[in-house]
Amino acid sequence: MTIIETEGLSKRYTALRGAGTLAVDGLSVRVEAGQVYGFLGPNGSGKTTTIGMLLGIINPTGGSFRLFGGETPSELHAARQRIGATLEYPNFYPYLNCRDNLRVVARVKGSDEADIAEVLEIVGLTSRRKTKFKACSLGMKQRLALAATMIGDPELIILDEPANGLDPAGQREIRDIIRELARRGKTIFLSSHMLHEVERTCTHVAIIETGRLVREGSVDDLTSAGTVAAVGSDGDIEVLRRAVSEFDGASHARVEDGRVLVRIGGGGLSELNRFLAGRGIYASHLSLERPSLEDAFMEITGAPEGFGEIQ
Amino acid sequence: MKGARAFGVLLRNEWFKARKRVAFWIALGFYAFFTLMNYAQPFLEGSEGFRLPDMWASVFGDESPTVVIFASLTFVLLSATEFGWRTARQNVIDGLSKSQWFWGKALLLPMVGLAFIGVHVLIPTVLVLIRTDFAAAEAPLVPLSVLQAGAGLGMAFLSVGALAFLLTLVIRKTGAALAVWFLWVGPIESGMLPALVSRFLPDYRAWLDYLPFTNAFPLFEFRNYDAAAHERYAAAVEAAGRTPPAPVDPTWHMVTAAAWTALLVGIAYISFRRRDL
Repeated sequence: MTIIETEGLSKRYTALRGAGTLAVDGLSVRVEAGQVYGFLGPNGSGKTTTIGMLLGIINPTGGSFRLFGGETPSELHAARQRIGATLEYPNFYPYLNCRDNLRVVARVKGSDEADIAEVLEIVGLTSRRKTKFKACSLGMKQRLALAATMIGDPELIILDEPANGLDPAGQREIRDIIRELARRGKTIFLSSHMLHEVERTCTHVAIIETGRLVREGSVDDLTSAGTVAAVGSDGDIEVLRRAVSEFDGASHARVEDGRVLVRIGGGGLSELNRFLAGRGIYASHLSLERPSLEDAFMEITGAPEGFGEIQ
Repeated sequence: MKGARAFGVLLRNEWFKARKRVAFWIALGFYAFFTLMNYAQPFLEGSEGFRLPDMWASVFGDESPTVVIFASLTFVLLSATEFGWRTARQNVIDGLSKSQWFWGKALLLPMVGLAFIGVHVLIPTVLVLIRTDFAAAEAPLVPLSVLQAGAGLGMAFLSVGALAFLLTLVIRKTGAALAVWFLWVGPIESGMLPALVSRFLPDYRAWLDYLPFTNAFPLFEFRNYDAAAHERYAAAVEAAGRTPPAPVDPTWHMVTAAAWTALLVGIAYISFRRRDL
């Protein structure tokens, strides 16, 4: 069953002068039931705008979309009752405590106190349920947002940068919760910059850039294309990285685990080895590796090196 | 979520959010204090007119614009912050449709009005009941005209509050919405528009009586609903050597207030639906 389907979905933000900004440009994606779908793109690529249109807070200016097969306003409203979502920064009533904020959500979703208690337990906020939202740390706010998405046991969960601002332990907790939700058979639509996490969590991904879909497919399909060489040397790793960067067709050379990982184009390992030897650098380790999702993402979008690591 | 369930959820959520908000209780408490102080002196002195049914002319009269202003300001305070905190957006993310969010806020308007008008009527009523000699009463203590005046005050609040509602949803900022609302009910409607109409459209001066705030004034006056109260008022004015005004039929002002309410809420709805959250 198709849960989300967009066809030529577009959003142009109007401006008093000029043509405005085309944030989403003819986007067509499909998310099937049970998929954990990563929605990737550089900052400003239109991810949040797309999710905003799906959730009904932003009016599309072109194209169409269906949620759970529904397209008319009443069908979409009914479909949205089956969705739990977070979008950007968590926004709740600052003067209400965590539990009262969830009560507001629970009434809308027709849930009860038991459901609130359960989701608070899942996100680890039971002991902080009486803390006012304005007194919550960013991590607690993110957890509260995640708890709100789970109220009413939705079939589709849409998460927009759910681990933003969290420390590594918090990020791991969020990842575990997402995996648990996926294990329970929920369809998850996840927008994130954390490509390592997406690679570990998602079954499918779409990559968008400047509002356009540039690639959609399974994570396996995306990461099986392309070639990455891993090069080690006993010398200075930075000298090695610079040298490797100058190899014909090489791009996005980076240091990882004491090795240089680099995407290589036409040339193979023997050409790279000969190139380095010609520069007086002798590789102690040389191998081909399966590209990571981050490699694939940078290849496709031409994103700057280091993207996906900076939070 | 549809129909009666949606109505119930919106009503409960809006009341829940309002009653948990300190600003709401501070505003209501301040108004209650203001009202109490206003009636404290005649109550303590046992003034001649401080009895039923004479008191209704005071409850539905001079102080009525104040309750409308207080309630409208409180509505803006409670509602505009939904945009600053981005909770309007969050509510829609959490499952409300934009229309439902809008109607939730539209329900908040009469809720706030009821709370303030309740305080406005209840405090003097309780005080005056203590002072009233029920055995000596010659006329019904609570005539039908009290209900009419109450409905008129409610309708007057809705029309003036609808302007606050529209400005809140269009401007989306507390300070700016309050400033524009004050500008409208103050200098614009009372000064600039009459001056412009008198100068350029003198034949239409009578229409100025039907602008949202000006239209509300005849609805505030108890004597416009109660012939006996008007006679007492006219006698007092004549005794002071002035010509008493003719009674105003509040019906058309009531209809106009309803029309303003529908128009301003309708514009707010169209504007809200068209804009992103």
